[in-house]
Amino acid sequence: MSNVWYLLKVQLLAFFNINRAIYTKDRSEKRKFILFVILVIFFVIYFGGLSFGYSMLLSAGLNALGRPDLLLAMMMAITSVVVLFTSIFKSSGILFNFKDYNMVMSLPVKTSHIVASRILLLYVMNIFFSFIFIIPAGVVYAMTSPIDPMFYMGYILTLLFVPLVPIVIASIIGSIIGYIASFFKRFNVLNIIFQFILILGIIALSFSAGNMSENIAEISSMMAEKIYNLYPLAKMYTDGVCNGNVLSLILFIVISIAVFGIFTILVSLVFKKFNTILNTSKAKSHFKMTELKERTQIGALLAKESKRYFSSAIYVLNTGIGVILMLIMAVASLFFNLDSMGEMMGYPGFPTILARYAPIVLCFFIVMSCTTSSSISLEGRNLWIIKSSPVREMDVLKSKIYLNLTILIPAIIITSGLLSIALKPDWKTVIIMFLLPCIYAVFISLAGILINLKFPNFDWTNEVTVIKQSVSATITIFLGFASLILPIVAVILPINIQSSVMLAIVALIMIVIDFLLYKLIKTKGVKMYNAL
Amino acid sequence: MLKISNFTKSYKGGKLAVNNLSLNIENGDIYGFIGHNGAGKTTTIKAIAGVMDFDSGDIFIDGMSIKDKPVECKQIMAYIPDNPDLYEHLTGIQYLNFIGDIFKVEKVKREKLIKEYADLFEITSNLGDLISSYSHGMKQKLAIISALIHQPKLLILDEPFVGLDPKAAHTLKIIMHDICKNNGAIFFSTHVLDVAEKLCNKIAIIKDGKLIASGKTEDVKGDNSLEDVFMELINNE
Repeated sequence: MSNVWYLLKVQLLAFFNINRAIYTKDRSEKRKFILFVILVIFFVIYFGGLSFGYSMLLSAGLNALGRPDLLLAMMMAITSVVVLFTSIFKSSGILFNFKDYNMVMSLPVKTSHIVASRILLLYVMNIFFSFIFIIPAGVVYAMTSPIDPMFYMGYILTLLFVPLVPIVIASIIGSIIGYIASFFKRFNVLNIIFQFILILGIIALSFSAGNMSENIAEISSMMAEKIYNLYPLAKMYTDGVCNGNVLSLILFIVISIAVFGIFTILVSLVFKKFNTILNTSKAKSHFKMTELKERTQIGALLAKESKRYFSSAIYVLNTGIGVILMLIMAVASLFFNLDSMGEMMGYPGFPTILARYAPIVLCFFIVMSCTTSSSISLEGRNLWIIKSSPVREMDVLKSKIYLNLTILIPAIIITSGLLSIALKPDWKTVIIMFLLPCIYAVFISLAGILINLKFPNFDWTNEVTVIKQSVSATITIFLGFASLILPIVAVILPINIQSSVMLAIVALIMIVIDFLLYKLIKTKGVKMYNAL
Repeated sequence: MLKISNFTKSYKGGKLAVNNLSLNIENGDIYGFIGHNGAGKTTTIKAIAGVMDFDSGDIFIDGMSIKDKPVECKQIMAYIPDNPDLYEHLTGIQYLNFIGDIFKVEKVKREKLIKEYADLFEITSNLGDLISSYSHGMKQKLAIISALIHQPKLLILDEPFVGLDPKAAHTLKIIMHDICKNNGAIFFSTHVLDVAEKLCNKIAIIKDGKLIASGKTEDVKGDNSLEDVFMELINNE
């Protein structure tokens, strides 16, 4: 088993950049790591607090219904869904298709140990979700419900086992998608499409489970019952932890470990074969020289960026999900009778209320969709190509910014257009609905590139490291959300000015910020690029 | 063609990687750059190619400073690193076409040169495949072709013969001679002293970031083999 630990340790050192922080003589590297740790702590506290607040809210309702046990069931289910979601994204890059595969497989280590180390990495990455969501819920449950001492034992013990089965399910789904897609020429495109369909399916399912008119506790109770049917482990968990049923508790732990163990063994059997299939490129070797298409420098750089983008499923999924959700929301708005929905809920003029907030909602989706925050890091070991080429630094940076805008601007135009039809707002709101998200798209693209220039990482072995777990991506998403405070405050301020006018002022402020950011990239950004 | 003037580069921790290096590579030179692992060869080469910033001194390409006119300098030279990490998500021909676009190589000329060099290195039939399917040697060949299609005046190579099969290595040597005959220059690092001895008209030996010998190959090695001279210099300095 020591081999599993050695392999896991190496991966963890690489994944969280711990080694670099410890051994580097460069102070800025150490500062970056400290900043990353601070950000992680902030996120843990933030989401932990959110989870606590949500649990308090839920608990009051559930206690009134006489079902306090459903609180933990709900939070366990949320943890499982979050783990499922994030692991489907990650499993293909961590279990299969990872860069150090050749090196690891050449070591005198059992394949099952290699597989276990890879799955444990997924586990370590997911155990935080278990802590963030379930610990606050447990505290609330202990505070608000009569509990016996057995609860603490079962609760603490199961904390470690909750993510196991969702990880296995996610890995199976991720692997099947990867396997099917590998038979097709456009492997990555297909992989991206499959995963998008899956995620949207899960979202649709979770929406269909609830009914808007009922209160949160009733929805929760109904959803919990559905969850029990869909995911029997949740019932075992609740019985074991909340109702002190020792048999259920043991059964939950044994099943979780058994599923995890069996999966590890089964993956070990197909690991080599599967990775060989995925790593074997389709080489036809029958190329004949034909006429070539000529592009301008910036055109060539943009084409290169877009090919890089679509070659990575994890890149597209992480930066494209906001855009897809935004488009779906806009299309869906055409099919709902918003007026009668509003009347049903007791909100006359519902479309007008929606139109007021629509520009901000679009901006929310936009700041989620930033390709530039990892595009410098993604150059990785290829950085020499562009750095030794006769292109101006600014053109390289522009091509990365343009890629993000090429993805976002058309989506904004379509979404705003559809929402304008569905919500029928006044002309000022229509303009703001087009304009503000576009300004935010420029903002997040510029901010992303600048932050990535400040916090680059070229030593990654897995794209997930830079796309999801990097300092750069984390700060960018944080900054994006923080920037939304401005329009939110502008709209909810109790002053007698039309919200569209207030948002126009916000737009003006953001244009100034965009301009300053652009200036900063042209001066400091170029210097940072040259120092890479 | 290439003038390195008091070039100094230190690591982030403060340790000197290259200390006050000066070299002059003239048109027609095939200049070998020799040193042990960690001597500062790759650092120097990366600085010449404009890939890495440096602390002090300057590097001139055809009279232009790489610091002041990086784009103009890069336009007339080509760099091939020791490890050809190329865009694996592109096909060979897409990569070459991308380089053609970036170096603004005229279309007809681009097509002619790609065909000519791909045939010479025997990878024409593989150009439609993804680079991720290439072997190390094939990637090395593709990197060499990409360096040649814009007809550089100065070729900067870091360990160019590693990973090449004997035939490709021979082809590369012929091309290097051709470039020099056409008044170009080549500066390359190598560990293979036999190659340096036979191929280079001039060599420089670097140890711990400092230049310890340079000049015409026959002057540096005298009546001894280059290996003997190298070992002696490395051990005595």
